[in-house]
Amino acid sequence: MTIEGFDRRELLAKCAALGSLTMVASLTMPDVFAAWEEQAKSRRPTPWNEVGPFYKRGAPNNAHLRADGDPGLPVIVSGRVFDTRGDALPGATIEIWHADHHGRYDIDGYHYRSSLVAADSGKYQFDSVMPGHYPSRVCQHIHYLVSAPGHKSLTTQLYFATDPVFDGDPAHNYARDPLIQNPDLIRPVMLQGDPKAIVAAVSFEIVLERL
Amino acid sequence: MILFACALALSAPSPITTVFIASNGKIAAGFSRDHKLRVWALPDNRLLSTIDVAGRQIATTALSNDGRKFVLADYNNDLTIWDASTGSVVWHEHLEHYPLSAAFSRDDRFLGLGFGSSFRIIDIASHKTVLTATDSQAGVVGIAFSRDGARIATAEGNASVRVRDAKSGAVLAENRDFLLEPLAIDFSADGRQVIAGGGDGVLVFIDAATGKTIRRSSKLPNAVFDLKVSQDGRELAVLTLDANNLGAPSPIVVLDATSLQEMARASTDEMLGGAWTVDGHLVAAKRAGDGVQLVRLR
Repeated sequence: MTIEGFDRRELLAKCAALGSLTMVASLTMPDVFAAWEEQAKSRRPTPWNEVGPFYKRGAPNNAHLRADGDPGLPVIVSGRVFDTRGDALPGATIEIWHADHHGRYDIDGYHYRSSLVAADSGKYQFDSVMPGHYPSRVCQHIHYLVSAPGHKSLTTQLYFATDPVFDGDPAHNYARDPLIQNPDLIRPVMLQGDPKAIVAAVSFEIVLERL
Repeated sequence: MILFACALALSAPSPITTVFIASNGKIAAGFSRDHKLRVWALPDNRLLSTIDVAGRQIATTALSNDGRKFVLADYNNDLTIWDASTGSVVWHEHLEHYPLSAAFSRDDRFLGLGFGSSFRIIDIASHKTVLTATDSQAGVVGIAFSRDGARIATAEGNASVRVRDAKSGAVLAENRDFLLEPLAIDFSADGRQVIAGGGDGVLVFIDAATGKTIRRSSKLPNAVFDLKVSQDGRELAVLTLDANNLGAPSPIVVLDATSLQEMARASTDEMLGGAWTVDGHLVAAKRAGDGVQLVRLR
């Protein structure tokens, strides 16, 4: 979007609505436009969720976690890593781990554990299987530990809107899992591909706070 | 001095599900299925108070060493401290996040709370926060105070252990020799070592001054979820649980702290809680019908 697309009054109105201006009298158009662009690009930090248990150091850099024959619905998770100003964070480290289809963590090895590095655009992607339920947790989830230089590390968890626990209404029923304090962590699931080889696709953007 | 020489029975109108035993051996507290926390004086089993915790989804709990204070934090981020003997609320705070861990200092003057990226120390008398450290990368999942109160050890979610000055919060030593995050932590009796263990079932003994690993135990039967050093420092009680089936029976192992030889073993089957008491015994609460029996394991 360019400055030419707005007149000053219109731009000021947009900035005021975004809360990006407190004093406008002496601002030039480029100043106002820059403030609007900055606010429009800014992102809220991804909500925190507790780390564990069973985080394991040293996971391999492996984006393909699902081995042939692994039971469970195939899942592809992708997203980008940003900071709160909306700048992509290439090189961010994204450690993920989750239980298998039966709800069991690999404590001895590194099955369903990976340490990824965000690409130049901040993008990351991995394929795995939908984690199963297990008794001490209510909902299916994937753990994340994300870090980038100059930014606060984040532990969080990704949940799935298709989880039967939510009865089809995660916005209202997310509190059924007491660990879910923010429904933004529950992500829609798109089923893709041939009906004989369905894959669940989930998008999960990560936003880190600057130190 | 022996606090109680024979098994004691505690009962409640509803089945007891979890038991806390004060290290002075004079107080026991237990949650029941009727959403009440009951507090008894030992050894006469006199019911001191009944605290209603209905509607509280419990995240973290702690009983002070003298049994006078009970702390509960829930997933609504509410923290309550009760006078255990009267059941009256002495402090309530709505937190930004629920704590992942809680522990009293040995003298019960301070309460340490571990959070997702920080920990706090609260002065129990004034309820003021006397220290906040916000440099935990992945959360403080376990806390222990040294017996002299001068240092704090934290088990960190990124598979490390830190030893800090209890007044300033400055990190004095750090150990990153863990593969899996340590879930349990305690100081040796002399404060020179920190012992921690986690999902891989191995205890790591750390020099508290340098952070270096001194030695490791052999692998225990299951993941280490709790460990406590005895009053005289000679033994360790280690609670193990099957990482993938927390409800299954699993060994509670007592080790000689020097030789790491196994001195005793019990099962978590029907066990609802336990503690080392100041007279040197390891007391456990064993389910007995709807109530519990307090028995000495060591």
